[in-house]
Amino acid sequence: MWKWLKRVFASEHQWAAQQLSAYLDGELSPPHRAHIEAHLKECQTCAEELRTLHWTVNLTAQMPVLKAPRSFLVTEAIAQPRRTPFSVAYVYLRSATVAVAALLLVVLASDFLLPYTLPPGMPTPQIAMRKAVPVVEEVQVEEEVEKLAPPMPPVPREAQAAGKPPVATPTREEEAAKKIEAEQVSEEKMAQEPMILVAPPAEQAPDRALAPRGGGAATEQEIPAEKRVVASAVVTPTPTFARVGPTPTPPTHPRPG
Amino acid sequence: MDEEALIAAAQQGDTAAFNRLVLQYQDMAYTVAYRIMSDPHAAADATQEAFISACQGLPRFRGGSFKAWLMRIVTNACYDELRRRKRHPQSSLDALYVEEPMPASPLNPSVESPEEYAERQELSRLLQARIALLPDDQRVVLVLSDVQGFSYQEIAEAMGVPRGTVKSRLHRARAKLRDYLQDREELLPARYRLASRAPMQG
Repeated sequence: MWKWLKRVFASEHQWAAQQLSAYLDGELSPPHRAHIEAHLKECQTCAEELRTLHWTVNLTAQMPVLKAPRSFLVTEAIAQPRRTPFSVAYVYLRSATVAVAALLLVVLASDFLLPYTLPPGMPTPQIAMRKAVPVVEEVQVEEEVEKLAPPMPPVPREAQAAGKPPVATPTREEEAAKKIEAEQVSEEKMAQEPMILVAPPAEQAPDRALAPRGGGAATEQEIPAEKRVVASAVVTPTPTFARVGPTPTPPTHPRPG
Repeated sequence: MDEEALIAAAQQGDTAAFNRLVLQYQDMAYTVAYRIMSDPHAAADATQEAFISACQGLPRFRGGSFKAWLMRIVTNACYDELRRRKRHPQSSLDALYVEEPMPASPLNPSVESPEEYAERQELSRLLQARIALLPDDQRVVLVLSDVQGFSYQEIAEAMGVPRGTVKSRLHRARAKLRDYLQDREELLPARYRLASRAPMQG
């Protein structure tokens, strides 16, 4: 098929020129031979090329068969196939190779057949893979983790540092926004009524207390950094900016003035 | 004992039978090796290696043309030697001029005169110089076809390539050799020049 296509697309002269050598040797099929002979009657270039090729072949045929400079007879020893010498080390090395291969096979088989269990406290492979996601995608990862895992309550950093259990407050954004509004109202009240303790909301942590009046300005600047709530203690290094309340202060904080 | 019987005996381990095959083909094998390598010593080494390989591999011979099978081993041995020489090139004063080995058939005065014999030797040296410059694949095909007279099928078996590949390689090799000879036609003896030859009929 390919040859036929080449014949179609190549020019008649090119195809004929490439067949001249085989034509000289009588290696063409009868149809091709007839085709070449018809072309040679019309194409003087191909006829001249055929003449020079014939001249070259005749000259090359003048090269003599050379006499071997020596005899190449083989001996009985050479005629036998070469065999490697048998040695004790060969047996030991082969046995060691078989033993190592069997051990490797057992290890691989046990790895595939035995159930895969994680030691307690280790993150599941799925979560571990998600931790490896770049920072720019962590927000999406957080959302996916929230869908997969039950919602975890927001934990203030102080509470985490003190080792206290997380507060059982929901982490919904709406609730967080409501709390932020409530906190803003309470802060306004605090500004109007200094030195009065305001009880935290019922759903807030019980150990939370209002910041002292005198230190209010300094605490206000620290609030954004300290009020960040980590949605997941395991997965999210990037915090979610949700304000859930004023700066938690230990109740034993001394009042200034 | 004919060739098939010798091959059968050699396959059964008869070294004497194999050596009769060696005597029958060693000139041809050495000629092919020399035309491919252009070095008498390297050609002798390759020929010896080829016969040893053929003797040890004869049980695997499954019939067909023994000549083509043997020449395939010879050409492979030459390829190995050429590759080895390319990796470890060596130059010596002996390599500057290599004298053409003696032909297998001595001068026959009834066929050609001593002058004609000398002219043919000179022509052979000139051709060998150009053949040595051909690519390896084209050189082997040209030697097997035009020097040894192998058919395309035998060359295809010897080289392990399709007949179409043999045809194209041979055509390219002949065209290069033709151009070389036409450029140096004045160096050829008068009876070998193209102008002195009558145009081919048919």
